[in-house]
Amino acid sequence: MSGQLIIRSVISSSEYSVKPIETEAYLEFYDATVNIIQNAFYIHPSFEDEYLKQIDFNSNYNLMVFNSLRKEELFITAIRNLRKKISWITLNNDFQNGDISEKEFDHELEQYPHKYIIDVKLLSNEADINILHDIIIKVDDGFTIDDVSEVFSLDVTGCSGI
Amino acid sequence: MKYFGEHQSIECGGANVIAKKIVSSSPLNHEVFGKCLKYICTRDGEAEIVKELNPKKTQLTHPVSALNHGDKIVANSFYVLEKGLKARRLVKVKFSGAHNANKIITENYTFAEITKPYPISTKIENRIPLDFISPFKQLAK
Repeated sequence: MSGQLIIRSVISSSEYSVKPIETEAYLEFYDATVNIIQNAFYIHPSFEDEYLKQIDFNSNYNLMVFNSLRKEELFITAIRNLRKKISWITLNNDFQNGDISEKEFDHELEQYPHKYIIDVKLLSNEADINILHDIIIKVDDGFTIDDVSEVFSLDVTGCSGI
Repeated sequence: MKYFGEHQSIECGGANVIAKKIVSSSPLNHEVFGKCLKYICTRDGEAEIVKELNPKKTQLTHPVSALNHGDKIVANSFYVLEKGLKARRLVKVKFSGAHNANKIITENYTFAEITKPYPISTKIENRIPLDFISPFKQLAK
């Protein structure tokens, strides 16, 4: 019985009468949450028990959900910025080869700024540092500070004042 | 005055940028600087102020950058931000003996910051005494 089915059964039972969750169902639900956390944070199975005993699920669960959602948001911005970069390279290449005049080049940038220009914000949230650290280690592609600002649209350099 | 340390920067209305390798990024819409182009300069180089800002004031919340005419940053790698989306053309010049290098002349507001200083300059700046490093003293204790 998977976690989703348990949640459905709990919801369906709670429509008519509120019941406390049974011990067996609770254990299954616990296993399902462990799987979700493992997928989200890539915890090594040997550390599973020691690590999970320390976690207070009631207090940290919301934080974990927030972190995984934020991670997804960063991945989407990374893909968007990649597409922007490719379109910029093609435009710049056309301009340097002489296929497009300078007027057309400027007009294209003014007309469709969302297609070429990457928005960069200053890094203000401390939780983002841990998430970025997680992603960069897994990618393992020799990231520099300049790369991070272009890929994740977050400025990590000294001008942010952190 | 020359600046060598990490995160030291210059701000000006125009600068001469010389480095052995200069790569321009895609256009950015920065939260502080607005629409700008970024040049990533690696393999030794320098950026010197040619034209001062008018009025002579920093645009950052963290005012540490040099503003005077003739101030320059010298480093292994640094980056340059220039306002406006017009990409500058690279000019070949001679730099550090027989080695060739690339040069850009910026004409709008520019900001340059060191990301990787020379290894010697960090030791000089921090002024770490040699006694502190040597392991023999620690063993004696």
